[in-house]
Amino acid sequence: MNRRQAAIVGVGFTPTYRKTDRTLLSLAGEAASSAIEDAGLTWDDIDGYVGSPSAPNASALHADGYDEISVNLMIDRFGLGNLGWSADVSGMATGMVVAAAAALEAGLCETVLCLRAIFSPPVKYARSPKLECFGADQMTLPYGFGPGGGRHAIWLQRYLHDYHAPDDCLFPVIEASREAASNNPVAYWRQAPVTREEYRSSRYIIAPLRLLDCDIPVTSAGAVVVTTRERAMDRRNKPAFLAASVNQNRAPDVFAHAGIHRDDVDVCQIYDGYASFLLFWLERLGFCEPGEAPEFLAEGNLKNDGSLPTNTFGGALGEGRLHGIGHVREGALQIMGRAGARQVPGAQHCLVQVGVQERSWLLMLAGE
Amino acid sequence: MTPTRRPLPAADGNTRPYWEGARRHELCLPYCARCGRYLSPVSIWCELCREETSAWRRVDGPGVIWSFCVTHIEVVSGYEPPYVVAVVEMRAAPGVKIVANIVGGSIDEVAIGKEVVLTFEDRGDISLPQFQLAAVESVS
Repeated sequence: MNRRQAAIVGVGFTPTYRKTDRTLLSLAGEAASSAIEDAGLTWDDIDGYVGSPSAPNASALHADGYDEISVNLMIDRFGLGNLGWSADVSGMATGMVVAAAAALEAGLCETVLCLRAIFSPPVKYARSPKLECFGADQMTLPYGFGPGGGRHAIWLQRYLHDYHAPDDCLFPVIEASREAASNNPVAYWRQAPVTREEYRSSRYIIAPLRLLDCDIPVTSAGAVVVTTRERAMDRRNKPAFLAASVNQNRAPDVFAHAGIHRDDVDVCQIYDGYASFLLFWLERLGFCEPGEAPEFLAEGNLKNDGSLPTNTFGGALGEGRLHGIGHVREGALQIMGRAGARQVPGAQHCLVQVGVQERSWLLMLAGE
Repeated sequence: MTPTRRPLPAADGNTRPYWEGARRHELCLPYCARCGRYLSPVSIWCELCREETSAWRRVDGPGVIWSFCVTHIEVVSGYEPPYVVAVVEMRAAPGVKIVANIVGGSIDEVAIGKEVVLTFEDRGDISLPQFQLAAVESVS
């Protein structure tokens, strides 16, 4: 159970590049510096660090400083030396905030920098170079399966079958993402509305998933600063308190753990690496009954002026494939009241979910 | 022109019975010695009994397509798009989802709920369980 003892007090991010000569290290430095500055702090104030370095693409080289940034590299290159605690966590940007809060609550440190830097490779993103498949890969890669979202396509196919959902039922997700991205200065797709016809003629990547159902790989970095309640009160930004954290299996408990009702949620950031993720989470979290998500989407509820503003910054589908640090940043900005043209008026509770169906961390960020 | 090589599974201490069975052209699945239920071939642990399992049994009979996808991009060596990957449940081992290709038929015929039969693809010294659509029985 969380007690609103940790809060995000600063956010930092870089431009979103499709391809760039700037190194991931340079972007990590920019994101970290801007988050620290945004919190009204200096690098010397940071005594905790958590990263989420893993490069997710099947073509990844996993080379520190090239397509990944480890905690060790942060220490070596940026002089982040006076740490009481550090960790690298897997995959999820929300998991960094959970880890930071635990370290703060344990008293191991007082101010934690959380960083996610992500690299769009010059080679084909989803092309696996493996010819011998070890571990879990051995049951999938030898069948041409794994990279590129195959299991999400399989799950979507089953969903469409079970609920007789129309084949273009995800279009409203793309439509809302592109609309919201138009108000996000770092979104890759900020001036790129999509029509239903364009969506329907979008080529299949792994059917039934189309190209437009996939977020675009980008090179970019984002960071947030998390500190204790006591210190958060002294900062210049209104704190975004961590009111609850749960993993995917306890997702529907996120409301009760935060001491609120589902209807008290003002805004959501739900991970949308593939548009189909929204179907699953809207139903899993009880915003819709099973099978009703397509209709809920079609009603425009996810738009920034809809009944459940979701991915108000455009999500990964609008901003680019940042593996959730964009969702965390936007959640914090909404609670801080700093989301500009995207601001949901008076937002007090923002649900932030990052990860896939079987692996996620969900947060409730709260204004008080 | 040399055909591009398809990747091979690297059997390990947990999965060796699976690949050894496949080499004999048999589908073998692990099961929990305590509760008896079948487990995924990558499972080493019955989550209900919280016990490590090392018991394996040959599973015969038809399977059913739980779901499938059609890959239109090149993601893995030796696989030319478009091709089908399905998740199949054996009638005799419900709940255990097996990933394989549907071979030998037209992509358009693949559908959820269709019955499939086991076949094997030999890749050098290794054989992989695969499936093909069962012959449709005429309904009179």
